[in-house]
Amino acid sequence: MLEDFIRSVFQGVPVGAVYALIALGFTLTYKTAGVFNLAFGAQAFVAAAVHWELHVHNGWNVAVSAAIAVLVVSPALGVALDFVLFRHLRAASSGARLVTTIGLLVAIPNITKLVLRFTRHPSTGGARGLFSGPDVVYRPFGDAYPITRDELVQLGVVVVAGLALGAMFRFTHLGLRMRAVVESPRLAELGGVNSARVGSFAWALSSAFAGLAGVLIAPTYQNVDAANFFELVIAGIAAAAFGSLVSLPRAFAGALGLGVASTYLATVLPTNSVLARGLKPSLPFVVLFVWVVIAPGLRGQRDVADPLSGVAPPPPASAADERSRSLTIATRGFWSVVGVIVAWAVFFAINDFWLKRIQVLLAVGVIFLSITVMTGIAGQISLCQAAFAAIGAFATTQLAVEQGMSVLVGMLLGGLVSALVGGLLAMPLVRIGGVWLALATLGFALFFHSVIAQLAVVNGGVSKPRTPRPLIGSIDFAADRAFIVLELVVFAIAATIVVLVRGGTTGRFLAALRGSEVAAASIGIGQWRSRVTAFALSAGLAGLGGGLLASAQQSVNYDVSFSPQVGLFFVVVVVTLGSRSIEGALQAAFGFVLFQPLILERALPWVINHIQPFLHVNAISGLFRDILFGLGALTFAKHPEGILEFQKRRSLNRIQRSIDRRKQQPTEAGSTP
Amino acid sequence: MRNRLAAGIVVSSLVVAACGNSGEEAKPTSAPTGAPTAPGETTTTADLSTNNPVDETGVSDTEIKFTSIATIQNNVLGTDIGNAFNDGIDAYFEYRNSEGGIWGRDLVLAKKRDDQLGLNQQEAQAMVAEDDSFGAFVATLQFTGADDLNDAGVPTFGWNIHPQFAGRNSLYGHLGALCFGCVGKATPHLARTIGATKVGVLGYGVENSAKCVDGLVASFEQYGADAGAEVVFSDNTLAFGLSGGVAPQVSTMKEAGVDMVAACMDLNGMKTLAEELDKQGMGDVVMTHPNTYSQTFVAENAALFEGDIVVPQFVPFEYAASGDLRDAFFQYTDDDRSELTMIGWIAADIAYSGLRSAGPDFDRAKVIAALNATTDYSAGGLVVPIDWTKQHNDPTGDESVRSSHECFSPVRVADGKFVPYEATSDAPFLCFDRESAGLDEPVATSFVPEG
Repeated sequence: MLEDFIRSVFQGVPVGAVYALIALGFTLTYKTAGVFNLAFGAQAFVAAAVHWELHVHNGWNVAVSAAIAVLVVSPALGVALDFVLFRHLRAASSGARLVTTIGLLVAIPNITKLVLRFTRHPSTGGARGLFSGPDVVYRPFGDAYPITRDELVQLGVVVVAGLALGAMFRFTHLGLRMRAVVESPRLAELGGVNSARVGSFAWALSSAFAGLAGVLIAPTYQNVDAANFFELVIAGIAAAAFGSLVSLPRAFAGALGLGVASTYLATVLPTNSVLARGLKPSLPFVVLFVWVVIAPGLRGQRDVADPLSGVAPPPPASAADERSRSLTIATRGFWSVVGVIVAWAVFFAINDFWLKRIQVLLAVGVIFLSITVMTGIAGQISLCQAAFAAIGAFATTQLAVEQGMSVLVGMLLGGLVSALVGGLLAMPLVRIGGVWLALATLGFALFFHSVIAQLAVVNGGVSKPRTPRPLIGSIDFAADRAFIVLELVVFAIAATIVVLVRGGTTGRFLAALRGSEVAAASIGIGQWRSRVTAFALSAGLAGLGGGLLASAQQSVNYDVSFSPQVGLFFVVVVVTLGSRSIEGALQAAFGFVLFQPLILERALPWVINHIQPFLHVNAISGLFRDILFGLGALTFAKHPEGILEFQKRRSLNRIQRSIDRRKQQPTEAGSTP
Repeated sequence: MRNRLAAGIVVSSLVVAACGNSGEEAKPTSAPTGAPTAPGETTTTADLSTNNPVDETGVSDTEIKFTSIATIQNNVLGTDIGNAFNDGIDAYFEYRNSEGGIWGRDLVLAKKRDDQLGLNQQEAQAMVAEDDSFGAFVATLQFTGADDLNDAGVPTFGWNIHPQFAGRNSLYGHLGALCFGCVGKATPHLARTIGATKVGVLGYGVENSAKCVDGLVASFEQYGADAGAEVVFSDNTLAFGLSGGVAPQVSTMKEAGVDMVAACMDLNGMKTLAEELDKQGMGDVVMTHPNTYSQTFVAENAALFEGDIVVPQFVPFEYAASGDLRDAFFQYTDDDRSELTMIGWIAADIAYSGLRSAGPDFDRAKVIAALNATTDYSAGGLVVPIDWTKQHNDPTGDESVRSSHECFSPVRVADGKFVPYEATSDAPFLCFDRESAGLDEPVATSFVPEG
């Protein structure tokens, strides 16, 4: 037993060193920039990709390519992010900044792939280690405890970097200034600190650290892939959470502890067991979730010092509520005509491909309504909506196929199961709120992905069952157009529920809580009940949408439709286009489902090919969809109502002013003598 | 508000309580099997120029068009899948067209769709809706569009790494329906040939890989005594890609005295495992690989894989086996040919043989019917013969639909190159007697058609 543990320490410390690199970098970003940077892994990926391109692909000297990646590209990226984004977000809420980083997480890797024309290669192309890779082995403690040169380098870099960072914060003016700028840039400026310059330096430093992590960690995996870094970042965050995101020594210790624990579990858990299969890959996510829930230091922690940023002004009324009666009539008339044309196209004109896309669109629309409830109404960021949708999809399929139940009943029960899971999950989380709630939900999503979704009893085993289409009396919804009618009914019911909740007591309580929890509490509004209700309703809608999607696609395509990465993209798309309204959810579903096949693959190439004779375009890469929506999420802090709602308000104001001017002109003309 | 919601749910429940599911009475969808046309019986080479009018999707007087759906972007393995697969099809069509095509028409791979890993069903649906291709070729990492292609009766040919190929009668993999977890003789025999006595078996926690591990363990339980080897350690719970490392497992194997490792992992995972074995002083342990048939990969990691055994799913290039189709493959493909190039070539040959067997008045249904009546398709000896009258079905737990052949064609790594192992160029497959209860000695066999 003791021997197992000692061996686990030796084998786990190198794993922990990898986590520590991320944890230290993450803590550094939080301490120096005040940003909970989920895009840290994306920044690491950029450096790894640059290093790979220069060193492996183009044969540059390893030291030169690593130096360029870590000391030039990464700091430049950090400065650019600060200059373009984060210096403008210092007074923004932590949630807004978190959404910004999620947008970057989606956009940066895809931009990198596009710019570098970067594609994955098998391990022959992996970014090799800086010092001759893993084949140099030392055995200072005997044959039982070997360690490679790569692992030693990683460990050395982590220790040196941790000490240097600690010294910088403790003993240098620069460290003090960086912390001061994070606390309050305006106060720091009163003390003669150039907060812009210090902020930029902080971003350059943290980004260089991300780059260092990327270059050092890349050889751990056999190919350079942003997804690898994403999962590592979660493990790193779990470690950083041990230090409440501010203590470097505790983050370091947490990372090593996590590495040793995961290795020890791999040693002692019975092999081939469900427990081992579930716990080994999910340990960092479980630790993150549990730590966020139980750690007293994280409860009620305010991650933004600016007092005003804790108070969100009430959200503006929607543009539709503010327009004049005549404009409302005109708008409704216009959309009625559009609706008739779309209905005609759906039921009489378009082919099976587009019918299937519209089926997916409507089902995804129901899922996106769950984000409307969670983010648009409750003002919280949940990153596990795709997991809730998956619960609904799996439950619907299993109930229909294994239990012989009506698939419609299965959908409803699937939604209820999701709501139940959501409610239970919310109970310990709602008091935490903010970014910690987002992180805990991400931990849950990854746990669901690693453990629950892999169980044969959940996913149906190797030969996945087909999800049936509903049958009501003599109405068979196997036909695509009939199923669309059913989906429209379900969407209308779900939308009505959302509208009723938003306008009801729960919605008003949530709006008050969103404005100021302290003020809401002072007038007797408790957050627990309202937020648990919102969470459960949101999960239920996601589950219902998931069941609908499974029936639309006639299977549960988990990896494609419900994985954690897809869930992040859900949030990005909805907050970009509009998280506060029903039409926002529908527009987001349109963007998610149709933007690529309709706009990128058909409409834009058609336009490009018809306006000029020189360049022929077949289809525009799907990378652009992810990039555009990722960048779109960056506007969340400025336009939390979403880009389309913002543009709609602007357009309606312009039209209203034009109408008002025209009304005014005859009057003025008439009054002229 | 609460009452209204509750009422709504009750009403909905009443409505759906009387509901069923569409298609419950109907048979599972599958393409028609039709009346069999014995392959090769109705036609001769001279007949192939017969150009009868055919009213079928993707067929004109001069061409028969196909579409491929392959993973090119976002390939998590990092290997070249889509382009190599398409190259194999193009090369095969070029070869056949140089001989005059079939039924007076050229074979054309008209569209090459990239499913970008996540858009397989979408691309399959688009292909079906556009209705301009006779058949489809598929080499993807996800196969979510399997039912869409099968329901539409599109003859589909491809890289069979998916359980979705089973139970769908218009889908033809380069192998028959896979069996995840079947007991087999090949790996125990390999242990016997290298003199291994203690075997470790490793795989990922994902379902297919885990079941593969279970199958290997069961194989040694059944044939281990004959082979003189036993499984002393197995783990089917590893994280995909071995992101957390594999050090504890290797330590346990070292303590158990493992001298051979059989793994159910991709080539990247095998490299990580090899590095850890090397690190812990087990570099000499022989590994058997299911997915590492890549000349460049093995050349660049020569030391790590020295002495290992790789089992491709077709006759490896290194066997100088005879056969027209093999010769043509080398003639019509570039030097950078790979495993997927060969898979594309074989898939195209299945399509060709279906067209040929269907006769000059072919259509999709006739091609499917003709192929489904075929009992010994072997791509000119490149693969173990497939009996399509039964091998559309998952053989797990149903021996009656398993192949009547149990053969494999191994190679060994020596100095960064693959070299033939045990079998010979004239007889590149090692075949066991399916009737023998014990671990019999395999017989070197060739499936190249005579004449």
